[in-house]
Amino acid sequence: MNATKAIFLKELRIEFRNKQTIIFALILSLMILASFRFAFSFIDFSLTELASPIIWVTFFFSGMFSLAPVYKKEVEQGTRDGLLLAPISPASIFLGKFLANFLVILGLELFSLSLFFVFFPVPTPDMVALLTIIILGTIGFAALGNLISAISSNLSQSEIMLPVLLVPILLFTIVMTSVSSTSEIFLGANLNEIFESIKLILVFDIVFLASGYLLIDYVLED
Amino acid sequence: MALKNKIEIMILGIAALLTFIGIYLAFLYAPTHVAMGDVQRIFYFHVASAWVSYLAFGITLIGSLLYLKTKTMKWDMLAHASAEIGVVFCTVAIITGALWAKDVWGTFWRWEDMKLFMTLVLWLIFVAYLALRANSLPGKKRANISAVFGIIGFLCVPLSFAANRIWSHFHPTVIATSEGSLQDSMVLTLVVAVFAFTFVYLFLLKLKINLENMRENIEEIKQQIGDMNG
Amino acid sequence: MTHEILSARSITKSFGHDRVLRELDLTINKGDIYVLFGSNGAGKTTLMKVLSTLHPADSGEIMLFGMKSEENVRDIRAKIGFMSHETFLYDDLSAWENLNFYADLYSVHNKKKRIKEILKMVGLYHRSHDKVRSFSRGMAQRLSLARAVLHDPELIFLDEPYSGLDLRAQEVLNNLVIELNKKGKTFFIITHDIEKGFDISNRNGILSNGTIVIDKELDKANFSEKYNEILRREADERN
Repeated sequence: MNATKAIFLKELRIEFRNKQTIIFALILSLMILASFRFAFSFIDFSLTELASPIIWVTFFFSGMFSLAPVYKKEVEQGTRDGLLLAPISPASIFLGKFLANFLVILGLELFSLSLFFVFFPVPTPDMVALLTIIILGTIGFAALGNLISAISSNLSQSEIMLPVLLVPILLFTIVMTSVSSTSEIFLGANLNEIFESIKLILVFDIVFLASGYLLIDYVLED
Repeated sequence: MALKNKIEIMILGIAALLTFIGIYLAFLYAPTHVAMGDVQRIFYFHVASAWVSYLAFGITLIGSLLYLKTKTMKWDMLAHASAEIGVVFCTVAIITGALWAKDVWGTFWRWEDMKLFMTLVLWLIFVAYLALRANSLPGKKRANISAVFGIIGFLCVPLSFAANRIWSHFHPTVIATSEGSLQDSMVLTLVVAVFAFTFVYLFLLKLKINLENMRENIEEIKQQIGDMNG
Repeated sequence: MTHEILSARSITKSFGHDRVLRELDLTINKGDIYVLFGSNGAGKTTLMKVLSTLHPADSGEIMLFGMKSEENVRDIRAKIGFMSHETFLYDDLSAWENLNFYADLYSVHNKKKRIKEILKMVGLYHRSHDKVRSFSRGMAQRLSLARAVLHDPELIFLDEPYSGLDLRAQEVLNNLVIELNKKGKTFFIITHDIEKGFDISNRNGILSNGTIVIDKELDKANFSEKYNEILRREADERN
């Protein structure tokens, strides 16, 4: 537990000291949202119905951007062996990194969400339900993303391989469910009405966290 | 070695024989479908290749699990060989399915159809699996990470099944289906086609594994020659 | 009485089809400064990583502190220090933060006092709060040594510790090694450079073609001659 905390704090400290990744991810979110705004000012669509896909596409791409360096940076900086040589379990490396990454991605998402409400005039949805879905979806996203990021850090062309490996698994599970329930929220649903989706996303979170926790050992070892 | 070859030749023989019978049955013996017409004949090959792709991906899962348990490279080889063949059959299944659907449903693809959707998910995951292998160097590390990815990929199947139910609930069904029941002769044709494709799969799998073994042997010999010179 | 800290029996390790270590045997006793020489490509770094539990060996048995290396990995790792040509340091963190992070991973007691003490030992206390990014190669190397001995390990691995160091820094490093050795620490050092490593060694050997060809030779002139001969032979083989 001590090791998890140490890795968690180290990740956040580095992330906020070397602000590059975060700043670029913020700019990327801004650009994606602006592009959508621009496109939909020409075409006449119901913004309320499109809100959910717009939000999740933005989350997905900026999130993926911040996932790529999580393990790759340890390899590039030559600190990977230092971590592996420490008397800690690989699972605590995974958990520490997952927690830090989850917070960073969630922060990015809240930024994008506020930008979204500035750019797009939509009726305010049930915020409790919306934030619940976003938080739960992000847990699964960060958990699976961390494991896949560890896998892709071993590959040549790791930057392109991360989305190639992540999308087929994430798209049809977390993203699909989050998009459909967020759509319902924008159409006026409250927390109770999307309870089925919430349960399902919780199952995804548990499965992805557990598989990361159990399998990271095989990914990190040589 | 001789016995091994005999088994191989037997598998090849059965595969060839069944394939010819299957083609005969599908095109000449089986009656034309009342509602769908001749295009329904694609169904025999479509179902057979879809079945083989599920079988192949299942074998990949088993190979991956056994590899992580035993750390023996032969299981990794089996998982890889099976995934490669599975992707080929899965591609065939998707293309034949789309052609059939275009004629019968009037569209190439229906998102709310669970079988179509799951097949696409599997196809994408195992294409990613092959991309992962293509992008890493041979060895224990590659075997480890591809086994892990193979297992998560397979876990994702029941998960996306559940996700799709919620999703399709949100998306209305556009076109109603009308399939009509199968006659006995059609069932027979289908069974033969499935067996034929399964034997083709087994033969290809054996071939691929032999090929990999030969590659291993060549590397080994190269190393020995290097040692002798050194 | 000699006390075995590390014993390796017929270790082999291959990468793909490249046999890097072949049937290698090695024993290190408590209090040794064992320096192993070898050319680039002799398998030095691989040997380090296998002995330090980072890579598993393909076959053979490694015992560290009387424990089998596959079975008690975490107990063993807690007693090992490792310094490689990679510093294992985070550029964006300060010297103090780096040591603080590793101290947490190793559950070091009395963390603050220990970090302060170790920073003073390597002469970097005045730069505690500067980012490692601003350090010279020699300073980073010294901090890397501090990181490696932070948790007071019994056995310390140094992989090419002299590369990239100026003469003064090499001297500082050698003095540190001798000082720690007097406190009972055991060292296993791998380098290609006879001039730098030989003088501090009290045991030494030569690694060639994945196995140790000469063990224990204390006459420097004699040793250099043998080493140069092996290097020449290896160069011939390559051509």
